[in-house]
Amino acid sequence: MTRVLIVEDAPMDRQLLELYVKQSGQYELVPSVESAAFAEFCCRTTRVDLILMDVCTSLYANGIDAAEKIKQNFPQIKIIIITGQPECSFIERARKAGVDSFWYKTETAESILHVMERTMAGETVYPESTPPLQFGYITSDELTARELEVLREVVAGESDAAIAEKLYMSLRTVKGHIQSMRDKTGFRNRTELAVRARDCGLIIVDKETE
Amino acid sequence: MMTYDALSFLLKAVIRFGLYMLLCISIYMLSASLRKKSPVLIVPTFLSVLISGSMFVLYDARGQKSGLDHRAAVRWLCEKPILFTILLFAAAAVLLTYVTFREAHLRRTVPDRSSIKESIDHLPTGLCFYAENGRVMLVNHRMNQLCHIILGRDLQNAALVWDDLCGGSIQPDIMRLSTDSQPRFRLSDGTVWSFSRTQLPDMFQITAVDITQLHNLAQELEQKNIALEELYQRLKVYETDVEVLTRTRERLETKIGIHSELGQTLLATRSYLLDNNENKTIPVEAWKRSIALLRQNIVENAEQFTLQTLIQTATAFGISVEVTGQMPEQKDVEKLFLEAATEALTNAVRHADAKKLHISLTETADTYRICFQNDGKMPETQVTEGGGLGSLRRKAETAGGSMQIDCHPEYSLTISMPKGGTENI
Repeated sequence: MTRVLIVEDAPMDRQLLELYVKQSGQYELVPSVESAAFAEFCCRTTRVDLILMDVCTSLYANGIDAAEKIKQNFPQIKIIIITGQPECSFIERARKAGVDSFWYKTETAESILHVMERTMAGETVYPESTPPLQFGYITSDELTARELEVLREVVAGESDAAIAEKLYMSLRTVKGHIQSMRDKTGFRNRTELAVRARDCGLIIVDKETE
Repeated sequence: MMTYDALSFLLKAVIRFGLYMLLCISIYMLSASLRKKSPVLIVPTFLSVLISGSMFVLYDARGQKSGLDHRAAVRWLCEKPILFTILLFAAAAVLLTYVTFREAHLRRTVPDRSSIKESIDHLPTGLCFYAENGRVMLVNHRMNQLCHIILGRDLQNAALVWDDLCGGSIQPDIMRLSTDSQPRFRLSDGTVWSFSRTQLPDMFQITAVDITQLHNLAQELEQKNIALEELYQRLKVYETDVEVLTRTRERLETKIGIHSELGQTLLATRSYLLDNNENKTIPVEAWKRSIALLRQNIVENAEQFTLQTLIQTATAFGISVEVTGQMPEQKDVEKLFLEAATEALTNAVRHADAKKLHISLTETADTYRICFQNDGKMPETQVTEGGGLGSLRRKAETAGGSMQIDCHPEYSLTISMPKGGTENI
């Protein structure tokens, strides 16, 4: 029977996932853990076939980073990243880390079981895009990829000059992107832009890399 | 060619008078040059005196028809063409002109006592030199003026004035901004002055500088820093609030999900019962799940991640963790130690194949220490610090602590952190 490990720090979500997995009768649960920092430990002490991994977990451990490490050491273990946060970079980061599938918590119970089944069958299941979020006057999918990159640095508290240097663009371009985002969203200044982006979960700055 | 002797009496007199004037001016300039001791001036002036002096004496002797009249030198000069006389005369005049210009130039560029005094008097900075007993040697207008404004009296004994500036009584309309070794005052006109004293060989120097602009900028900067600090504190609070908010929102969404699933199950069942349609079935799976959900005692709020959580997790996977001592209460150190414990636990199974992890926590007057050991096999080669251990070392050392890995007599990882350290781990 497929052995499933759940890495999730929110107790309610953890219990629900455990329930869904148990109820399906197709899987065997290994004890769930609260932090992605334990994921490798679990894989080394017991047989794990599939991991349902949250992104933001206890001890500020990032599920995607942990998944990457596990994929390097145990390529046979399938990993599904699960998250309730619509942060726009998660899907791309998960793909880069070699994660098998990706699932948003907002979807129904059946869908996770379905995704688990397909993943175990060797498929890679990703949502087509991040669920669009209301961001000022627009939805988040109306921002360009470059604007999102700049927005991420603004949320991290970088100055325009630092952003320009980090993203290899001119200061004028950075200012242009910020102005364009302000025009689209109707936010009054860059602080409001940063606060709203963080508040609605569009951008989550990794605490460890801050 | 015409000689001196052939000139008319009037022309001879004019030449002699010219030479006499030249001689007088040369002698005057020579005395001035000797005072200045400048060879650039002395040499040409001396030449000028020599030429004009000897010419005057010789021509005058001829004119007086005295006993010298028939001397060889007098005859020689007076019988030379008049052009020779004019050339000599011009040479002396040129030398004299050169000396005059040169002297004027020196006077402009090399300062003397009076020029020094004058320029110090008009300095915008206050300046005073005084002997060790307080006797004033040199003081300028600005310093005198400041002394009057701040202390209400003349600057007579500079040592006493300095003592008063550093802490004595001052005029009521003056605000003292600091009393350390650099007293600062705000005057009634709004300007800010900073005084300082320097010891020179055998004397002291007091300077007073107008730092109004600097002072105002510093104050502005200080206020901005306070505002920034407040903003930073608010952002920190906001960061925590946002986390709580995000978690609450997620929880709410989960609850909505449970609620709607239960609702859909009820609706499907009701539709089955009412229509009695044979094509429809009771959603058994959904019911099973909903009932199990309702039976379960769902915990809403996550508990703080502690060492206890780590022990429980490890035990659940068959690794026993033994702890001696207490976890520090200082939040930043606790967080770092928890991270280290997680890393040590993973390393114990990854490299040593251990079954037991021993954590020992000790505390001295100024440090917290955590030490990890396990019952697994010893490392065969030197331990290389990868991502996990490297990151731990960086965090510990940034916050003023240290990390140590020992392999003898057995493997141990020790981290020491200073008490009351930074919050930036």
